[in-house]
Amino acid sequence: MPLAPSAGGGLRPALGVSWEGRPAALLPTLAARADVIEVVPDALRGPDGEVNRTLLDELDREAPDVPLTYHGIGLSIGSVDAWNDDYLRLLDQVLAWREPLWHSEHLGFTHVDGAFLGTMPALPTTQESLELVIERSRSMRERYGREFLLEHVASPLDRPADLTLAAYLNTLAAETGSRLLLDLHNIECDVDNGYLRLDEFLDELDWTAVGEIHVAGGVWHDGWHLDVHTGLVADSTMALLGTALERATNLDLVVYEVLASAVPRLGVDAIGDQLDTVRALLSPATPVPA
Amino acid sequence: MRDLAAYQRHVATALGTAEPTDLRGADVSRWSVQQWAAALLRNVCPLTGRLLVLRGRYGADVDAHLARGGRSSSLHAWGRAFLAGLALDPDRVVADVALLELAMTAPVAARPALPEPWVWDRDPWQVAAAIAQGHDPAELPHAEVPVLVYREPGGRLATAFAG
Repeated sequence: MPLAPSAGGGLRPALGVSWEGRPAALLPTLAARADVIEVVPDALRGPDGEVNRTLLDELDREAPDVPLTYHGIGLSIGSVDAWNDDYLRLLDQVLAWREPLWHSEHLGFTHVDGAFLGTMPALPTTQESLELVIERSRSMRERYGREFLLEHVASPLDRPADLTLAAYLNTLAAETGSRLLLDLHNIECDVDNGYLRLDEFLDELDWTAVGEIHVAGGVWHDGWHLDVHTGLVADSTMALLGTALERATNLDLVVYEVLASAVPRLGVDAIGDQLDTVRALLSPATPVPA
Repeated sequence: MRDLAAYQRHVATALGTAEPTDLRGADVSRWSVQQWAAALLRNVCPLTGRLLVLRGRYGADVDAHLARGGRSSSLHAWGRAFLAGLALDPDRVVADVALLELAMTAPVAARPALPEPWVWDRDPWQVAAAIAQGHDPAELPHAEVPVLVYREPGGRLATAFAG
């Protein structure tokens, strides 16, 4: 479901921001400054395992007319034994509440033989994993009748590869008919951690398949660049966004992702300013940082 | 290791042990799992988490909870398991606070049984307030009359003087 050019009150791509259900004080700022709110269904789960209705009511009250996307973290689409049906139950609940522009998930696995790992390793770019994900992505699209975007995961864990990441993503998009979600900070992490060559990736990727882009801030620990969404967007990521905007001709949405737990430290104003900075880059008239 | 199932089991094994592994990135991934666990458990167990921090043992308790395995992907359920384990702690203050938090936050189907009678030598609400303000509740004076904590027929937790 492509985003209509006017959905954000301006031209594509629209500006989005992630929302994990708290703090409530952040929501008015997000609703006022973003065109789209990315809702993480997993973060809305209450103690009883069901969607916390209070959080949905807050969104209805503070952002009744702001289009949503649903961006899950619990499907575990790459687990060989099975994906996580409990996540689909959660997704069904939010879909019954409000229609999103589309739904997206991650090219990773959080469960092995039914046990939760506590993290989301990236899928190896092997032919076997590609076939598995293509089949399941098609199932998701058939089940929900909407585009299902998948995002490459940054992980410090070594993994086997039959294909380059770009070839893997290109084939996935071509075989499923769903566009890709490209997280530029994830790409930077993989480059910094020795799993990707940036120039080769940028040249090989089918940019017409990119429908959504994420930007975020991360951390370094013990020589590793980690994707944790706890900060503002680095200059290097902004520069990469400039490159991506020149190439991604079917791009509908750019989302700034920030963890709820990082909001008190960053401050609501800083997050609002960050959204303004990203929006300025989305305007063709704005020079992109070198 | 190109077989996907074998790779995923290799990852699960590497993440589930503290032993050295040949999987590049496993050490930092284990660190990341621990950091996330510590942050997430404090979100769902704020009272007990704060008490454990005050007593300088929170990180060790999170590590012990991770080491038990069988982690639920439901954070709330995993948090309840954390509290249920701590409710058996030999430190009476930790055990009581953990059980109190579990009793207050668990949905009906997961509510723990309470000791009968459950008698506190300090007012549990003053204990909770002290922890929230960053004070160890063991520093609070004992109540003049012991306090009984019980669940009312409607499900609400209540207190009464035990005397």
